[in-house]
Amino acid sequence: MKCEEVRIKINGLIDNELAESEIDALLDHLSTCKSCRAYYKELLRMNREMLRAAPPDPADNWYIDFRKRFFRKTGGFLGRLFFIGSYLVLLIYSLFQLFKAPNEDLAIKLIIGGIFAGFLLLLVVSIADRIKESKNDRYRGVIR
Amino acid sequence: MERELIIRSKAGDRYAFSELVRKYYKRVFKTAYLILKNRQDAEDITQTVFLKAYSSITSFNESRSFFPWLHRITKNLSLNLIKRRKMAGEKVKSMAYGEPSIDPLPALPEEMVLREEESQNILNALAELPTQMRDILILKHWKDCSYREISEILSIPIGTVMSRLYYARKKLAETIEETENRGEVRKNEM
Ligand SMILES: [Zn+2]
Repeated sequence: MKCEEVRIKINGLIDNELAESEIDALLDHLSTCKSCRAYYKELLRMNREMLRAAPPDPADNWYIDFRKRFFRKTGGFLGRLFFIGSYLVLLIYSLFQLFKAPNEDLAIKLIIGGIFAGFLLLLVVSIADRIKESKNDRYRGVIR
Repeated sequence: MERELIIRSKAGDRYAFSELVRKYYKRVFKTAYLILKNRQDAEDITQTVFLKAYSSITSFNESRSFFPWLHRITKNLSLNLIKRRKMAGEKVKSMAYGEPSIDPLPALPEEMVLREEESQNILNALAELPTQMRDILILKHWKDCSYREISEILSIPIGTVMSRLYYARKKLAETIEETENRGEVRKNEM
């Protein structure tokens, strides 16, 4: 092996990217070639210096904070689901009771039925809009 | 195993995903920090990156490496933040790392500038390297990338990563020596 080829491979060696067989051939050369050994040492030194000059790590509690927020988000979603779901069930139930009641005025039943139908329609439209929006939104799932 | 964690995350397993976050958040943070130049923004963006990654993980192909995907999201979100701030008229201190069309010498975060002399020499030399060389060195040394990850991020064959690193490191060593000599000359002239 020529020295330049060897030196390219020494880069692979310090980066832990060589196969066993390649390492053996490399070590053979290193045991006989002084200047490649010097190169190897120099590269290790530069590696350490690069590491020392590296950007900082995030704050220690970053990961813990992230986990808290990440799992709370699920809780929030389930909470809303239960809340709105139960509210709708309650509405439908009371409406059903109203229509069943024999001595209630038909006009009242129709008016309240109308209000309810309107409310439901608005709800459906706004949910449909939000779904459409979030499909086009490149920052889906991002807390703003 | 990572592949398994990704598949579980795709099925909505948040515990599996938070393990992926644990594995990668420091590298994502460093990527954002080098663009945004400050901790607070970089920490916020790191959070945003993972939430976005989780919400679109079904589009990730698990036969590829995970970090290059995160790296792309991080770069996009960080650059968007800078763009939005610029449009909002806020003064942006410095531009993105490795964006020669905007800023030929990448300004380093202030926090990093105040380092001991040896680190300072290496940072100065790094700033003088051609973008291509600087990028691969930063990917390897600071973002802790494997050759496979580097080849995916830079879209180059995995076989050329090693030789590119060889040339980049060679150039870096030469540049460090040059800048050190320049410093010596200046000291002697005084
Ligand atoms: Zn040799």
